[in-house]
Amino acid sequence: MSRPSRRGWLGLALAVAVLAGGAALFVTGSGRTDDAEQEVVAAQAAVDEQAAANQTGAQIQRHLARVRRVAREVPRQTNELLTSAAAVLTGSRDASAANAALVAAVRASDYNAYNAGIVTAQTTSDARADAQSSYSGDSAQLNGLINQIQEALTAARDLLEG
Amino acid sequence: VVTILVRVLSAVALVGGLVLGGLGIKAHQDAAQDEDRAAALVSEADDLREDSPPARRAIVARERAVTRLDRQVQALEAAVFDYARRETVVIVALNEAADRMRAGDTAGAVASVDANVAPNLARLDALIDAHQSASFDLRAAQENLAEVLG
Repeated sequence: MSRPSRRGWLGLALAVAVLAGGAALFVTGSGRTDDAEQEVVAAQAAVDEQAAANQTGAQIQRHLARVRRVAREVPRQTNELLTSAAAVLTGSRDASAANAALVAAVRASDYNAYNAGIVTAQTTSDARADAQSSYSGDSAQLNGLINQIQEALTAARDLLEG
Repeated sequence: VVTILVRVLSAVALVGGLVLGGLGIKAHQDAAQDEDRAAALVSEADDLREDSPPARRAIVARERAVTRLDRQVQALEAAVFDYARRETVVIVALNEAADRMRAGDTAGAVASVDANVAPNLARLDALIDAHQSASFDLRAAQENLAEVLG
């Protein structure tokens, strides 16, 4: 039985070393590939989730834009309401003063003062009623704007809460 | 025989090592590509996140502002219409007192005024104050809404 030469043993050692190196490369490469594939899956899921959230966000922004559009009308309408409310307030004060004068006339049993006061009270009451009528229209307008804003905000909130 | 065995083993080990090494290199290349792709996706997700608006805070702030405005509009409306209703009561009570006065029942007229007119006149004054206060608060609520909306 012949013994292998020194060169043969060296060749075997080298081949084994190549095998070991190849196996190490294979094992580490496979493990790295598995990890990287999981990273890709997780990152893709994050992208999809964020993209979906952004799509909802865009819809929400459209509702908020509607809120802004409607709300631009609010200062003007509020001013009109406050102007008519001020007229009502003036009417209320005049009417209260007229009624107080009537009370004084009754307490004093002053028929003439009462009869004169009735005319004033009626006039002030009518003026106040006119102002209140105007106020009602302005109030309805502002309430309409508020309702539109609330509807848009409700729609945005519904989207936000899924 | 040993020599042949050594040569066969050497050949097998060499070929196996080269094959495994090749597969390993390929696996590392694939993994590197996947890692680059994952990094790109993470970056894309970050970009998308930056685009995402802070919707909840915006909605809550606007809801609060518009609710405050609505509340003040209702408060003003209550003051205005309550005044009208209360004034009707005063006028009816005044007419009754005046009828007594005209009938010569001076004491009855004064008693009627004290019982039915004076308390309602005081409530009318309170409603005037409420009206004035609600007007002021309504202006503030409108300014608050404008501020929230920027």
